[in-house]
Amino acid sequence: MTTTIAPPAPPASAKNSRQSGDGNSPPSPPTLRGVTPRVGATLWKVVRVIARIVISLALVLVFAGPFYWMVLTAFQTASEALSIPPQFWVDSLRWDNFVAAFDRVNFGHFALNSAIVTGGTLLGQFLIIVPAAYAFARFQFKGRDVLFGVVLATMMIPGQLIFLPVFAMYAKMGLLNTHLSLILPFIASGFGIFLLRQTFMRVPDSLIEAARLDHASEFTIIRRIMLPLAKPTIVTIGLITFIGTWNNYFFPLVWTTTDAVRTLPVAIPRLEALDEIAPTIVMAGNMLLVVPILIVFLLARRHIISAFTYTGVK
Amino acid sequence: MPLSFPVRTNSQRTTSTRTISTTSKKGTTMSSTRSSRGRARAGVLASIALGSVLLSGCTAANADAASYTYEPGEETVELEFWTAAVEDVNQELVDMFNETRGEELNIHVTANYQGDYVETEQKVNAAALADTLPNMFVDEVGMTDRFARATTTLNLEPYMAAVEMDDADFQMGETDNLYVDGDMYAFPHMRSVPVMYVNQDMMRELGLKETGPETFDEFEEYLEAAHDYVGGPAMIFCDYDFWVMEALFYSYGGTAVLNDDETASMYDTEGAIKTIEWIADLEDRDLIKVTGAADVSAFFAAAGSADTAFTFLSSGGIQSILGLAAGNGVDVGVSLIPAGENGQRGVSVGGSNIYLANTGTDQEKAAAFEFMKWTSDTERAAYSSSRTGYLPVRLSALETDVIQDLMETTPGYAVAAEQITYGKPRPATKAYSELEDLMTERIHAIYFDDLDASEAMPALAEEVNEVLNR
Repeated sequence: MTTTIAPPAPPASAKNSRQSGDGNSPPSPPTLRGVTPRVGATLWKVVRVIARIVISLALVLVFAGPFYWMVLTAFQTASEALSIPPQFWVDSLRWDNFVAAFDRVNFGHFALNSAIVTGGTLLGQFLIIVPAAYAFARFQFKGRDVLFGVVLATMMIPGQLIFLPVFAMYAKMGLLNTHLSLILPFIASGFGIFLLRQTFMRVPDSLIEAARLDHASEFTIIRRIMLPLAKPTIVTIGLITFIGTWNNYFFPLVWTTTDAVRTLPVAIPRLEALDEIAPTIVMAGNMLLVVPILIVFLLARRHIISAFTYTGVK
Repeated sequence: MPLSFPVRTNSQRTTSTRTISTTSKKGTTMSSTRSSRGRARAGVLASIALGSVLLSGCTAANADAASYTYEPGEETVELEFWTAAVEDVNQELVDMFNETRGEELNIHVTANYQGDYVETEQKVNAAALADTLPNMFVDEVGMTDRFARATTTLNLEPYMAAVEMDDADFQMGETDNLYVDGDMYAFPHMRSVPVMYVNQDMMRELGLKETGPETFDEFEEYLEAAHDYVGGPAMIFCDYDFWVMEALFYSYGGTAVLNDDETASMYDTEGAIKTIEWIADLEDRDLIKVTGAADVSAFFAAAGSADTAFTFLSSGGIQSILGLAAGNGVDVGVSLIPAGENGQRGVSVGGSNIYLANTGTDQEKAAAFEFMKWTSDTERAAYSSSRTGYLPVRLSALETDVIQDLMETTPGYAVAAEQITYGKPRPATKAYSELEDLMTERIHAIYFDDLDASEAMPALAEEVNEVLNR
């Protein structure tokens, strides 16, 4: 018996000759363990499907596993959460962990600060990056490429490098412990300008020229032509900014010295500091932190896919 | 159990040349011009001048004393107090102060939590650069020296002298971390030491002493019995906080992590090498399971579990661990970390200090000192201890009803108080936070990659020395 492995899909001629059964053709060579090519092809397909399912499940486990663990712990008692062997299910939902998370830190206050800082950053970014990206994409001016290079370079400077001088600057300007101090540095997003510029550059010149012939101002061109066409990109930038700002821990921690303007990510670890061996309340706090992100993501998902598959004017 | 603490008096402190100048002292000098009109007149003038100098000297001394003493004024003095760890208890202390002593003295304190010890240190340093320091702040015990040498904090001696305050009552175990060049630069705020939590149910089942082993030889025998009982390692050893390792180096190896003047590592010594070899051997024999910071939840979970025989952990966790164990129906007690082969014991004293920041007017500084004094008095020391599980920071607090009741209901407190008598200072070098990460990583590699400790530890010593001498 040969031990050659049958190809996944045998040539059509071979199939036909076997199906004709004329008796003149030499019999098909037996394949691995006597499996015919047709069965082999089916088997190969099944193996591929199973492999795909296994890999998908593994990926789901890697990405959703920690999330499931967070949700599970948030609804458990402390002894359930710390039991050995671990419990992968809950007998009854413990909502009091959420009540405790609310009570132990001034949750509403921190959530409001998060909303103000995130909303302010989104608004500021929109006002800055749209005209900046439009200028970089549609105008020729001296030093344009150098300036664009500077914008890109801002993406490569680690925040840890600038936090101290910015802190000292804020102290001199009297901006410490203000919402503005947490908004200002992030409204000129290099990544946002870069992504939006690429989108604006894909808009055909003829559209812009037609608008100019109709005496449209630059503002009108941005508002009526550019923004509608760049909607998926803008939504994507908005979502990335929303997640980044909402989850930002480092800067609200180092640029504030009171709770006046601190945001939720700074408040949540304090639940742990208050009771380091009860992860249940910390996880409940984390769930509350994550819920707005999930909602925004679900709402914006369609646009994100469009942004990365966008190919031009349809 | 009667406890005796070595009390160090002012005269016993190291007296060395002051190298830190934090408060300017005003001095007045007066000169007189000798007249040519005659010696008699010159003599009179000289007498007046001398008298003036003496008088002005007295005035300056009085002015100095006055600048260190708080006198309530018309307006309320507003103070900012940065806290780290046990945020809720610090806030309670501040509220109590504002309602009582603060109201009497016209001082109002606002507490602002800044994060863990390392985060708070970074923020204090940033605030020092930006000239936005709070009036006083809480941070880890080992940071006194670095804050003082950066002139971020003030020498407390003049303030203590002005109100004739003695520091003898603060001598709760090792207190070197309060002093710089012989002067007091911090008040103790919370104190903790590593202790050994013992599963007393398991000890009784095994017919062993329910207080657990007293020496490391016994400890090994107990671990073997516990291993057979549970069918696997009956202890998780987690050095997520390096001071537990410091305790083992002191107690098992009889050595510190750094030499006395903190210029070189002691990892190339026999004591350090045999400590790591011993832990690695316990792990190889499946008597313990070593985990890192990533598994800290599993570590805490195991601390209160029926299958765990021993846990080395902070005395500050007494309430939490005993509560967790009780929830699991397990009887857990507190014992001393076992003694080494020569009977040596030693644990790093951890916790926090309260520092007077070098900022504000003389009145604000004196007001801040009033708050520090009040927060650290006997009654507050007992209160903080009862609310947290940390040890009180005053010897007199041990005699209060609050602490006596606590020790009666939770005998583990008395053990922790005894453990602190074997206290050693934590390394004070400013590079120590960086070194802790480095040392943890390299020592874990010895356990997990089966490296030879006799080669890896001297190599680590060289790396540590490089950082220290950088």
